[in-house]
Amino acid sequence: MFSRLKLNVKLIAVFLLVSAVPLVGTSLFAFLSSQSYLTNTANDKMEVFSSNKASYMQTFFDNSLHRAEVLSALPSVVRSLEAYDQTGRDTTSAAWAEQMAIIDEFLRPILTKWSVSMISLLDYEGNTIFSTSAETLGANLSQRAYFASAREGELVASDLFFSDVLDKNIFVFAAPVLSQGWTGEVAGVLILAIPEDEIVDRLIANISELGQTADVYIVNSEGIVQTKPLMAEDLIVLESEIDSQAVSTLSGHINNEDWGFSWTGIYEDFTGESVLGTARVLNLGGRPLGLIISIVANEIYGEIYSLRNIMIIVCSIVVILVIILGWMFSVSITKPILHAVKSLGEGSQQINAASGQIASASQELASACSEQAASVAETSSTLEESSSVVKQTTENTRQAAQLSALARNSADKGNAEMTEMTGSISEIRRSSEQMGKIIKVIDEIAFQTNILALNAAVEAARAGESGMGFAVVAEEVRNLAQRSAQAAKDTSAIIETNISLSQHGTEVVRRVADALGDIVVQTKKVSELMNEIAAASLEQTQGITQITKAISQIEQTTQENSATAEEAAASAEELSAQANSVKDIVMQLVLLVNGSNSREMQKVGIVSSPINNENARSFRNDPIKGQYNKQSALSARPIRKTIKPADVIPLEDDSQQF
Amino acid sequence: MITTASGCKYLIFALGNEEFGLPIQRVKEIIGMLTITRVPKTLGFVKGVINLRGKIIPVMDLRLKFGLDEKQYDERTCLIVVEIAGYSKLIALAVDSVSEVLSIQSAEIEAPPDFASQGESGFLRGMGKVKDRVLLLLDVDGVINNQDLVNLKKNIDIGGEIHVQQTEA
Repeated sequence: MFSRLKLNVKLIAVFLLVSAVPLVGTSLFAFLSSQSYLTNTANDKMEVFSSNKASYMQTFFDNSLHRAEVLSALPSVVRSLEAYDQTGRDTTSAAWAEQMAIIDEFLRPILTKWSVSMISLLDYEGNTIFSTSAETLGANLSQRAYFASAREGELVASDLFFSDVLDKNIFVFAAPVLSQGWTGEVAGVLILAIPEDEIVDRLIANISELGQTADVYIVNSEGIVQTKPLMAEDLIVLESEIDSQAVSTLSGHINNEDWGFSWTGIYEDFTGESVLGTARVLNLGGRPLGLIISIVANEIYGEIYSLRNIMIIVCSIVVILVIILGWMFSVSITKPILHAVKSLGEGSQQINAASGQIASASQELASACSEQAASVAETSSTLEESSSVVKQTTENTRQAAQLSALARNSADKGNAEMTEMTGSISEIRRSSEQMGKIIKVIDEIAFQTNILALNAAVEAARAGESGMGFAVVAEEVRNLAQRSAQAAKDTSAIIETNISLSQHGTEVVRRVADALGDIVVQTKKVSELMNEIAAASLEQTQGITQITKAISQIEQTTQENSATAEEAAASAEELSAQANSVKDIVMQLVLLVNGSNSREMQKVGIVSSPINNENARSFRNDPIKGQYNKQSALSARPIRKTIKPADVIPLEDDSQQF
Repeated sequence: MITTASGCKYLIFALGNEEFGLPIQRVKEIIGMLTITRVPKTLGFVKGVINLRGKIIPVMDLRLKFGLDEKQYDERTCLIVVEIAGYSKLIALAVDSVSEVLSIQSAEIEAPPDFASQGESGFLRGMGKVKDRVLLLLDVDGVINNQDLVNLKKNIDIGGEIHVQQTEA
């Protein structure tokens, strides 16, 4: 039943149990022990007081009896009776009056001294022959019980009775007056009347020591009050009957004269109040009476009653505070718990969904890994082919490098020969220039010759007829000179052509040399590049070897990935199961926090939905990926484990004990 | 003036593209270019004087004389030493080149055209036609007239005497 309660109520109950109950218990214990202590103390006190008061009263009564006895034995009293007899028992005679005056003179001071209201002297017939109260003179008291007893020679104390003569309640102590004083026959009776007031005064003396509400009174076996209680204004002595536990307890013992019996207890007094009272059997002059001393319980327990009230108030406040604080505390606990439960519920659902996705994703991953493994294998074979191709390339490159080196050497040689050729052409040019100079000289000679021929012609012409032959010679010379000049001119033109051609040749040779130089440089570069290519191809070969290694590692890794993916799928299923367990836990948490309230569960989003892990389950049953047989090993693993909320959340173990 | 039956002989020389002819009787000598010593305050066509085997001879640039463009002298440039009528001294004429000595018949010579005869056309004796060539036949005394001689004498007194020109009919 308790387990169906809300956590709030439980917590408050626990707090109350933990805080308020010890407080109440302690308070109660303190209260009870204080009460017990006070009761014991008061009991003791009242016992003592009662005992003292009883012995005092008994002593007082005994003393009163003895006083009566002593008075009765007084010679003047005895002589008075004798005188009474002698005067003829005439109370009116002068002799008796004289005698009475003597006795009165002797006895009257005793009244005030002993607090006695009346002293009377009775003759043998019971007639009052002397009394300190003159109005009782002549009264016959022979019917009184105490008189009868006293006339028999006993010292006797009467019950309390109302004296018509004195108009008050009195005790009478009677003692026989013997004829010889202490011996002899009974001649008369002496009585002392002590009023109730005196007894009450003695009873209540020092009663205030017990307390302000302390009361003391005497009852007889029937419960009739013998002395007026202090607290009762309306009780009438000798008439009112008290019916309380003390009286009823006491009455039997009074009848049995069970001296020394005493009873103490708390009971309801005649006033209707609860009192602590002591009842005791009292021997007053041989008569069994009950002495009852009581004190109102409130006075005794007043302080502890106020303590009790304070305790009740404090406990109430504490209880209220505990309830409020417990409510706040429990709210502060249950609120986050509910929140967490809600989050947990949602989270578990999400985990459920996510685990399904993970399972399917892992499945896809596994198949993808298989495809990847195949691709990797293809890649590996392709790489091997590439490796051989690269090796071939390396070889070819090396040969090409050698060929380019040869080409370079040839180009170098060509360059050198070109340089030689340039030299030859320069030589030719120089020769041509020399030839030109020679030709110029020849031309000069031809010119001079021409001029000489012309001069000769001029001379021949001036010579007239005689110079005719000379003119012809001159003409011939001039013709030769002109032919020489013409030949020199032609040769010069040829040489000019030669020179320009050789210049052109030089130019061409220079260009060829430049081209060859470029060829050398380029060939050098080609050679270097070829070497680099050869080195690179070598590195490539090594790289391909490493790649092959790496590919084999990738292959291995892919296989591992595939296995891992399957493990992940299995884990996802496990996760799903765990999420369901979490959901169960959450439901139990909700039950714990809210009691059996399904609406709260719906509020935090916990509804028992079907588990969404079909993907994982189907994956588990899927026979594909036989390549990696870790499936069986995975299945063999202990996945299912029933989890109880108490395993997860350390709640109080005593929830069942409430 | 000496003439032959067959005609007269002329020394042919060139100024630019044109060929000129000088009567050979008036030609004293043909020489290559010599060092010309320039003489101040002379006419522009008088280039200076040369020393020909101890004789000081004035040099006239025929190009400048004929109002053609001046041309730098080269190895083909020749000096034709001529005798001037009425002047006891020789004068060298600088021409571009000297080619030959030709005999030109009288039939081959035509009178100078009329447009040239006006003014100073006295330097042309005639136009020689030898095959397709046209030879400008010069009259030496026409080329170098008295005024020139006077100016020459005034500036370069080399001791010669100027005679009154006797123009042949």
